[in-house]
Amino acid sequence: MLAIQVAELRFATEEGVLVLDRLSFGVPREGFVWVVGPTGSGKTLLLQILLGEVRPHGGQILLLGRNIRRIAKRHFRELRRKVGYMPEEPNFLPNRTVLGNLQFKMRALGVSGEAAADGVERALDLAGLRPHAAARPEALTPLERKALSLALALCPDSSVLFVDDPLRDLDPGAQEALLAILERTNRAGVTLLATSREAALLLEHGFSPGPGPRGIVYLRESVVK
Amino acid sequence: MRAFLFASGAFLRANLRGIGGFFLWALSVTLVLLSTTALWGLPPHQPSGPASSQRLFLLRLSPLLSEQDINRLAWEIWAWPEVSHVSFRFPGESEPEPIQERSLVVEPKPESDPDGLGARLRKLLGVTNVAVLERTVVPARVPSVARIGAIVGLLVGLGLVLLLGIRVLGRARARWEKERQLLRQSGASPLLWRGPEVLLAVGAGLCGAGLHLATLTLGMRFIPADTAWAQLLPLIPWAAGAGFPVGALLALLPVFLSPHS
Repeated sequence: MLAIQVAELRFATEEGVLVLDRLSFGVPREGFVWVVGPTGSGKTLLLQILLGEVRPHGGQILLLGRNIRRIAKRHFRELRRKVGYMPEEPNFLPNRTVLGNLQFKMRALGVSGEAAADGVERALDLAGLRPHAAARPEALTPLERKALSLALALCPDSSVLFVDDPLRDLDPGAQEALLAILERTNRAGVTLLATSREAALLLEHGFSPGPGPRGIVYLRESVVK
Repeated sequence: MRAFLFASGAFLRANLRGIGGFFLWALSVTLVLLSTTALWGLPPHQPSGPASSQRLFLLRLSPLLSEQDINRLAWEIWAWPEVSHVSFRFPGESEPEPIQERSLVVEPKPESDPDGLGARLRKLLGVTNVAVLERTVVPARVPSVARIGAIVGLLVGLGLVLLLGIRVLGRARARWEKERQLLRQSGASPLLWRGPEVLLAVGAGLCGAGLHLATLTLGMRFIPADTAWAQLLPLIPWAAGAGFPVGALLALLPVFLSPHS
């Protein structure tokens, strides 16, 4: 069963640059797939389309079995609660602790009580942030900040995670550590679709080009129509 | 609903530092409401002086007089020191009364002796009849100073509502930007990050309407009964009641007019 299914996806900018041209791929449930391509190849755009923030010019997208272009807004929001997004630039609340950040998101999304506590515990454990729960984001290392961004994306109870260029701006050691965190998150049953500009590190970690639960999808550079 | 209340509470707490701007915004709403109340209740015009009566002489002219004769006669009368003004009237005109024959209207100077002037006019050749008319002169009515002030207050107030509202909302958005981003990226309903802004605006409007009510209530105690302002007193319950919804709607304008980042 596929968690994410993209078929014949097309997108061109207003200037006529064809960014996504009949892109098709699938991510099985509990799979971990990377989308790799150079800057401007449409990696972030692809995630924005999958999140329903940008409308494509053609193609079909099934997210957890639902066609996101035909689903009612209210139902799409319910679906979105199961889909986490970790942006390229970590976004957190600087005036709250790590725990406070996670609790804010839970409460702002209307999750409270035991469900909120469980969700926060899970996110802290998967992101490896339990020792830093009381720390303010400014006291965290770049890796830990990425981990906080991941933990926030896991709240309230994401079963699918879109991760935008997580390895960017990290030293090789931190990249390895973040990959380990992502692998742990995946093993916990979360489907991951991540983007990156380089495939070398991914190939070293057992990801292989083409379809599959640990596949790599390559995007080519955008072309002018 | 719980999520909305939580987000609104967090938004308002994050913006406690901007309470001064919020208060000024509310005051501008008060200014608009007070100006509108004044425009609604104050008399539109005030006479520039007391009414007075004026005597006119209507001279019916002989049909034998030529136009040159009438012209010469008018110039002759106008040259008299006790005459202020002379004008022609033709059949069909209705001022100062319906005219059936060619006539002249003679307006004496206020200090002149009307009886002596009437006798002099009756002796003129070509004048068949002299009628004396009395009319009441109502002085020009001019807008009251308070009304002009209210119009200026309304315009300035409306400008300030928009200007301060857009500025307060812009700063509030900047303080809340991280939270807003987080909620957006979570796919939360726009109600969660737009709603608190609407709440802030409605709060400013209601606060302004409350100050409007307080000002009017104080006014009821201190306005002297013999001034034009006393005409506002019967309107106060209506104005105060209408002030709350109007104030809230007014303060909502900047929410829709300010650019959403």
